Amino acid sequence: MEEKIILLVEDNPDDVELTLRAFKKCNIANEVVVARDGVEALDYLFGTGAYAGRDLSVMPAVVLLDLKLPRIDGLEVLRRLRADERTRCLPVVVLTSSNEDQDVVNSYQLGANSYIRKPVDFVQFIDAARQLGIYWLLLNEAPPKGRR
Amino acid sequence: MDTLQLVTVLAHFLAFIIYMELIGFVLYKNPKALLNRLCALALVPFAIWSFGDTLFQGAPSPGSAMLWNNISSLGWCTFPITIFWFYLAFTRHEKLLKNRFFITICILLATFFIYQQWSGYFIIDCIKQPYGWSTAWAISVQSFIFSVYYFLFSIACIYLAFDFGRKTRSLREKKQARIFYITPIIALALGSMSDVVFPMLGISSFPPIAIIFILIWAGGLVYSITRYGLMTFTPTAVAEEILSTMADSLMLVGLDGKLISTNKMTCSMLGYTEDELKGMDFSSIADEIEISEIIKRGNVLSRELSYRTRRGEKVPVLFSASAVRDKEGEMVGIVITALDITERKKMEQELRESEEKYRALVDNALVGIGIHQDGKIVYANEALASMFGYSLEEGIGASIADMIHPDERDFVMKMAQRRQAGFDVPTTYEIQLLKKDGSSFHALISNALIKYNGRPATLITVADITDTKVRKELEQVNKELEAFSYSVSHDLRAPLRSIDGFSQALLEDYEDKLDEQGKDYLRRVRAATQRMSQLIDDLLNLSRISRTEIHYEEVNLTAIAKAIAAELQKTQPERQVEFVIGENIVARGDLHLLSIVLDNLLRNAWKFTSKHPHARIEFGTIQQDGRLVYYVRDNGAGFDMNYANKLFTPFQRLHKSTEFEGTGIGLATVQRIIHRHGGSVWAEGEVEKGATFYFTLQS
Repeated sequence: MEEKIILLVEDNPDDVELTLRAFKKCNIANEVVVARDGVEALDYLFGTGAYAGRDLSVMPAVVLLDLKLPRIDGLEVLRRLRADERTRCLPVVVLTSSNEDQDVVNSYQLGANSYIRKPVDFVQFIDAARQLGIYWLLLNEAPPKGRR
Repeated sequence: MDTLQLVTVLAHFLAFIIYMELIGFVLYKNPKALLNRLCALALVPFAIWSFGDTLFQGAPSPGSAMLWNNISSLGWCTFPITIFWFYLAFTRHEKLLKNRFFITICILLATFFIYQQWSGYFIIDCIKQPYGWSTAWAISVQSFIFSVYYFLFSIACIYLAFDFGRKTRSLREKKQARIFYITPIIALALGSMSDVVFPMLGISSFPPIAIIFILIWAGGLVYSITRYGLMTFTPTAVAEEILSTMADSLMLVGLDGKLISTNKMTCSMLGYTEDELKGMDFSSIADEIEISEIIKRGNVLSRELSYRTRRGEKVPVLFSASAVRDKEGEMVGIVITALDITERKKMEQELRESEEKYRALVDNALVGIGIHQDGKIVYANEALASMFGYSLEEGIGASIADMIHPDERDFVMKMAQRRQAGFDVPTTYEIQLLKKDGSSFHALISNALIKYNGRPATLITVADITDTKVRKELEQVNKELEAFSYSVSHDLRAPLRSIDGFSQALLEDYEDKLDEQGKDYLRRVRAATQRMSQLIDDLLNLSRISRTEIHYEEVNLTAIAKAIAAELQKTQPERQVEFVIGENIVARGDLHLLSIVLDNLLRNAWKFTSKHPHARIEFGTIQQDGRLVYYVRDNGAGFDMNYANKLFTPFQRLHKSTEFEGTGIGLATVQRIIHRHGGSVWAEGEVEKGATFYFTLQS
């Protein structure tokens, strides 16, 4: 079984650090690709810009997407993913600070698979990361490759 | 015949002529009137008397003197009767004149006395005097009776006139009556002296000229007739009276267009004298209508035109004219009446201007103005119609229920009914209205009860406040607030996560390098971040409540309360808490927001009863001052009533956080929701004896 990649789209280095720590704490050793903003995330997923020529047959098992991002924000990234045939079925989990109604509603309307609010309590955050890993990396059956 | 005798004769003859003239004059004045006829009849005996006396005084011999005296007696024996008849008629006793018995008695009386004279029982001798003839009266029963007869009737006449003058209200009749009783007193006093008293006393040096003295009386009657005009109430007399006093101008115009006669009003209206008007061309007074047109049409009714006055001014009049025809149906002239309508015109003009002013005011008003009656619009201005997207025609007759947002329809209609029934309900309030196309808008509406077409109606003024400056500013502020909240929600929490996360990392990774105090500090740091995080969440919730729109619906509070109670019990299954929740409690409001209210109140009760072993939490309703009041009661920690007003202030807590945790936002949230529902919230409590929170919703 090939390695399942996690794409973490997060601009805050503290949050990146803490998220990686959380994964480590609950023994998720999968490769985590970090994109620092929306543009980087899209480059990675579509093999453009810095990721030009990347093997697009390798896609992350799940995208952890923050909403407040520099340049292109999370919702816009989501919209473009869902608009592209190659990434239409890609599991996307919105992982963000707020639980504003508008964010939750907009995320689901644009095709997010899940919405998780980052708890301030780090112990709770680790718990959330664990459940996230178990679900999306172990339980969830990824869409077949090369198909819509 | 000497000169003195000639004077006496001529004087009597002159009296005779005057009496004849008066008879003719009275009959000429009004030959058909009873009073005029009786006046003439009363004068006939005087005429006979004066005629007889003329010849009596000029008689050449005692024999012929006696003969003419007897002729005279036809007059002086009759006049008390005829003049009495006249007085009866004048004083409105004409009924007596229709009594045949009375008339017969009168005639018999007169005839009796004439017979007595002719039989020689009154004047027994005629004595030649320098002035003519004097008479010698018999001292007899008959002559005494005659005196009584003559006095009785004369005094009866005087009494009738006096009494009538006293009783009548007409000033004219009072003056007439006065003449009618004063002149006979003078005439009879003098006449009785000269013709009865002196002869009876045998004094013959004074001539018997009573008939000349009686001229005073007759003259008085005639003066009264000419001075006070009308002797009786006749159509002609009434017409003249009316014409002179009527408020309309009246003109008689000949077929040639020349004025024949005008009344007083015409003169005062036009500024001409009656004489100036006579013969004037009608066209010089009114040029808007031709005499020929009136002649052609026969009559003109109530036409408004104007007369030109002597000074050239125009007087607006209501003009009517009709042709007058003689018995053969031939047109002889035109009667024109005209009413001065200057005042009316002025009032009409003022009314029109006032009407125009208010119409302009209503038509150009920036607010919608309308009247509704029996649930339908019966009047609307342009602004009102266009506000609702109707044309003016469509707007009239529209049902007002259809113009109110369904959420508020029942409530507003009920309020309108109560207002019509005379209850004191708010006249001005905000309302959501519906346009013809179904879209809604916010408006401020003011209601006033009025009468319209004689029945109760409601006058409304409506201002669309959707786009008002304040609302726009409010919306702007709301938007900014929303952006601010959004930003807070994301950005304020991120650093907290870092603080908490790395503190935990320190505790885990550097456990061996930290002593207990260092670990304690880090734990405090983490606790503070949790608390800060909770505060941010509560604050955001509070601001969200102010921003979210209320969706009114029927909310089952019993079901919500029961669900919350069950949930609370689940969080701490070990606690023994008795929940007493009233059945079938429903309210009109926002389901989500009212759930938050109950959640906060019940959670509070749950929290503050945590230290009491026999906790009891109630949710129910009571009636107070005619309104439904909801309450949540517990028997927990309670509070000091002195601080009751601080309960609902954000972040204001009455208990130490070590005793009961919390941010102090819950009750502030409750209050905000209740206020947004148009209700009020208050609390009663006592330390360690529990607290009760009451709230009402939109009244």
